[in-house]
Amino acid sequence: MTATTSTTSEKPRVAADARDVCRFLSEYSGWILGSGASCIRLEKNVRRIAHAYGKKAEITITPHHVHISIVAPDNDEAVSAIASSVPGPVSFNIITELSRLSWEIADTGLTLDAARRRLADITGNDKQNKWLVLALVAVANASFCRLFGGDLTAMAIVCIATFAGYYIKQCLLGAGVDLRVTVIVCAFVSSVLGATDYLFALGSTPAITIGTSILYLVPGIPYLNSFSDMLYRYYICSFSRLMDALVLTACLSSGLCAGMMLMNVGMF
Amino acid sequence: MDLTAKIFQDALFAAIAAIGFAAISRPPLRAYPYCALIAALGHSMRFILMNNPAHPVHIFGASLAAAFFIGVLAVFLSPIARTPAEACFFPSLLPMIPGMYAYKAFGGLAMCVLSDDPQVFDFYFFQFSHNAFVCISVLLGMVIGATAPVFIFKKISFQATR
Amino acid sequence: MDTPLITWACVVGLFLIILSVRIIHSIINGSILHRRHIFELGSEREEVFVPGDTLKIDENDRDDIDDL
Repeated sequence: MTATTSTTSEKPRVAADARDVCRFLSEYSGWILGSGASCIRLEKNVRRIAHAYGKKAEITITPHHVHISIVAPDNDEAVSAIASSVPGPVSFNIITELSRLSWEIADTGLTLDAARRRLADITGNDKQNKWLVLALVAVANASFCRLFGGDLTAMAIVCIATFAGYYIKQCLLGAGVDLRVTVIVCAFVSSVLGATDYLFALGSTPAITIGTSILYLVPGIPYLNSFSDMLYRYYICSFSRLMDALVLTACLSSGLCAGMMLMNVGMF
Repeated sequence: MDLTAKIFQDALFAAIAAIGFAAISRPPLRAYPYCALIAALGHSMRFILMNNPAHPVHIFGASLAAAFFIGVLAVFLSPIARTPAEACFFPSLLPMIPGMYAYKAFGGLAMCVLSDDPQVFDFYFFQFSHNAFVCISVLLGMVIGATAPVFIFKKISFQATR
Repeated sequence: MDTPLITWACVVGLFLIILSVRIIHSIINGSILHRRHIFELGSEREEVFVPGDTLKIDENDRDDIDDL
């Protein structure tokens, strides 16, 4: 396999039209950007695929679009396309499979048609059991509560509050409600349920209960992606992702504030 | 409870938290055990650094060191899991995200707006700025710590899915 | 009066109602009783459709509403 890779650097094993390569790569990058890949990952994968087909790729990444130019060095043919990122949830599964696809193209010389079919397969088969995710998130937030020093009562209340909040999140997002509105509503519901500890004086750590009941809504991956893009000097994407994450955190805080105010719990 | 038991408890709950929070960002199924393992080791390392009686470390330093450890583990485990390094270490970093600092900063900001008394304002402004600075610096430290090994072992990390 | 208790009861009540309605809905969805639209706006084509008519929409076959 190593021997064949070295040949790809000089001469592509699969002949492909620059226009087709450009069309495939714009679709590919729309998916990988929409699945929450960092910019460096997108750029490396796109260049790898273009190189495997004997083309040179120039890429501009903006927060919601990717602009790709494909140049064929042999006949000076140049094609350019702009792809929108495919809106959807963060999915490391898609990122992983698309990265593997890029290596497969580079190493085994997959044809463009086969690559296109693989892309459709990968993006079409990313299904998750939503009840399982709901249960996992509820248990995870309960154990998170334990990490902050909550007692068993606190864990149970956080588990229920997270279950309710995340269930409503799934329902609202499924109904096409705006993400920011969804986060406000979920934070409100989870914080009101998290305040059960205060209301009925059940456990010994009520402050931890209400504080951790909404932590599942913190947009962790956008924060990490934003700082990762910053390190690699993709400042525009980095800033956009940071703003997205900050707006979601502000929404989460306002939901929490409303919940705490109505539940008469001391503000911070 | 003695320190060893507390460390094990921390590792266990961090692993459960990592699996649950990872599920939101859909990593491949085969990456879950690695995420849990890496998160457990990383989080318990941060716990030891922050809570040891001899030299307690500030949350920034502890998170930086723990994230570096997570990054190194992820770089070497991701070729085995056949996933890109970030599919292993981003979910593992999730239990360490300073979420409470983040929303306390916004809470402080909201209270600043609502307060009339200069002293009350000062108090909440301190709360806002302190929490925001800690949150941002911890996040930055975590990402630098976890990304540094990817740079150092570039060859391994960008070929993990090959 | 007792705002916290009322808020708490409202949120818990609403959540339980949503949960039970959705669960019942998903059960009914699978059964014969399932009827989603009681009132619907149909096109002229659908109104006068006779089994055996062509399924392809003809360009010349237009509803009056299309001319507006």
